[in-house]
Amino acid sequence: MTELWAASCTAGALLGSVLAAQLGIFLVIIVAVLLGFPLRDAASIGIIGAADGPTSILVSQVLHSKYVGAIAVAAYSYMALVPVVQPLAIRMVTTKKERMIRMEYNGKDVSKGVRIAFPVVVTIITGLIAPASVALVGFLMFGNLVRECGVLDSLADTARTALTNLITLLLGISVSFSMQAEQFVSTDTLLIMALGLAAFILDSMGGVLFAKFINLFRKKKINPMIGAAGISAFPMSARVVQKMALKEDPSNIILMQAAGANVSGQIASVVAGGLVINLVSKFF
Amino acid sequence: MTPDLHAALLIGAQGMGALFIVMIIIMISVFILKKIFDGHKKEGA
Repeated sequence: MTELWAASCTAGALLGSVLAAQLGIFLVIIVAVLLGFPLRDAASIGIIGAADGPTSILVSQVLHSKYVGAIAVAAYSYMALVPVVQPLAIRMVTTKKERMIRMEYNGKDVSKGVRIAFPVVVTIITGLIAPASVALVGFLMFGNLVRECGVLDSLADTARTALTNLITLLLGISVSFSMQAEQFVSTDTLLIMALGLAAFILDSMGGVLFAKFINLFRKKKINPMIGAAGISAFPMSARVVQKMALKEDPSNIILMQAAGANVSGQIASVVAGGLVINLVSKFF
Repeated sequence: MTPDLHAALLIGAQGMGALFIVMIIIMISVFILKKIFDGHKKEGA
């Protein structure tokens, strides 16, 4: 029972950090409105902080934002810049001693039943609470199901290699049609890039600061850098956190915890996207 | 306060709240799933 309680506390702490890592999205929506962007554009700009290209494109298209091109460019750029931006953001809010915190990892087998039921249950729960996120969560979880069911190996292989690349290419080409010079080359685009960067940095810092806050109440400290992995850029963010931990202490392995937070961040950011669509639609 | 700013503040508060609820429910579901499937496995072993 004590073991279960300890596991629940750690899971809760990591969950809190993942949630705090979505804070930047909502803060930037408010800042964008203050800067004069209409609500539907501000909401689309905030979602850049999720560091999730498809979510940003879907939200901006569903909300009929006129900045789809700039938002897509910003989202994909910051996803690619995770190894540059995140270490700076993490270093700003952590000390060397905090970055050296070690975490115990007790690897346990997860049964096939749980692995198959998980994507189905997550889709149903998010669908009931945020129906607009079903398209995003459903496809994420469908990929998970195809991989874990164990009888669709060739489909899973195609989905994670050729199909992913094809869809990314087609998405990029389609979005590029909306990037006509008259609309794209403007100060608004620069402002969107700056706000996207702010959302991304605030997300990373939010996760780290929340993990530091949780550490105030825990005997077994968690490495606060884990909180920064609570964004959608998987597995790059987890790798960046692990690399930073190794830089401070060459024998400190926190990759599994970081990857866990990163996967939760993926789910949380698509749910956040769906919630933003639901909530913004209420005002029109 | 403009209507857009009022809406943005509401979206921020409601969004974080709803996200918290969704993630908590997912976490509890995973614990329940593990209990059901792993408990079943132990009985069978």
